[in-house]
Amino acid sequence: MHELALVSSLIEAVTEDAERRGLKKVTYLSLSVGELSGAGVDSLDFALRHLTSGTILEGADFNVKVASSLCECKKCQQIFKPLPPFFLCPFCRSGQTVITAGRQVYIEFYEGE
Amino acid sequence: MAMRIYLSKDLREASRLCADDNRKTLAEQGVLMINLMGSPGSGKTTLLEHTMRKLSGLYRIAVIEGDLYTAKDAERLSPWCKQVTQINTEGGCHLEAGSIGYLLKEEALLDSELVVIENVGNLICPAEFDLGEDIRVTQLSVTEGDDKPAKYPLVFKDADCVLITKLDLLPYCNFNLERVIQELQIINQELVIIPVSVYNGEGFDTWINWLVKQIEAKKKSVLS
Ligand SMILES: Nc1nc2c(ncn2[C@@H]2O[C@H](COP(=O)(O)OP(=O)(O)OP(=O)(O)O)[C@@H](O)[C@H]2O)c(=O)[nH]1
Ligand SMILES: [Mg+2]
Ligand SMILES: [Zn+2]
Repeated sequence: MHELALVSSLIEAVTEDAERRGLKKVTYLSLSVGELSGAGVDSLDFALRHLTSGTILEGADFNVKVASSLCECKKCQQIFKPLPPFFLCPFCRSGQTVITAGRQVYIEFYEGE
Repeated sequence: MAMRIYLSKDLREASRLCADDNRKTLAEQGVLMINLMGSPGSGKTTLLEHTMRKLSGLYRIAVIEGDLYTAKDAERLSPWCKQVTQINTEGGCHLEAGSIGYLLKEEALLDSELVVIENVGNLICPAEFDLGEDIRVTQLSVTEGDDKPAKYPLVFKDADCVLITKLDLLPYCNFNLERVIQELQIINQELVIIPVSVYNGEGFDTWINWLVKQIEAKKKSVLS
């Protein structure tokens, strides 16, 4: 639901970096979105297409990848693929688990000229 | 010439740095900050009205009200609290650490002993944005239905305290309190769970006592 905010900071970050390198245009951007990040791929796509017009990213191709999540059990230290809703440890059934991956949204790379 | 640049940049990094900054500032001053989250209408402002009425003579309290467009909640709280600041997110679904940091510094909120943030009514987005708070409190009202922890687990998993509100309405709702408490304990074993009604006062003192304990602990952490 907060895709607009995410895409705004994305445009800011890429513009700053590209301008610093003297690039005129960004042609491709690869984004990694954690499956538990609360950000939807379709909404991100939509926001990317609409918010980038008039910026250095206008007309770029976007690749949005979904990154899978990981959990770590605080009790038995096992790492496992978490299953919502309860994120229980499949090894010891504990609920004392922390999500260690899958909530991040980050720019992997971009291409420019 | 075309080139590929690996940024590996987390889009929430700026926000997270602001949150860390807020946490540090608050720690230096011994100010406790609470991020209050919950669905629209779960009773956040009502709880704050009663909490302020009880504690405003005892502590210096500041409230930050997050709302899309209006100042209605801030107006409701102003009789009970001298320091109420409104942030309008203009459609934004959550508050961010940057605007909280600005208020902490510019509005002299650091003179308080407790800062309470009422986040935008929403069970999804606020969970993803650390504001630099010490304590996350998530509300769930019995009228919302008992499937909410399973449907929106992250806002409960990240919480320190869950208030199950509008307890006086329990007889009229098909809300399985026992099961919800069990599920919440599975999601997060360290969770403090307090069922509460501000209408008949049930559980309210438990909440106030818990809150006072947290404020005192934070104050002491600076002295030691
Ligand atoms: N019966 C009952 N009603 C309550 C209780 N607490 C709050 N309410 C009612 O619930 C309604 C919504 O309360 P608010 O405090 O405005 O809810 P909120 O979470 O601040 O709502 P937003 O700011 O819009 O997200 C109001 O009509 C309150 O009177 C309670 O303990 N019992
Ligand atoms: Mg409110
Ligand atoms: Zn385990």
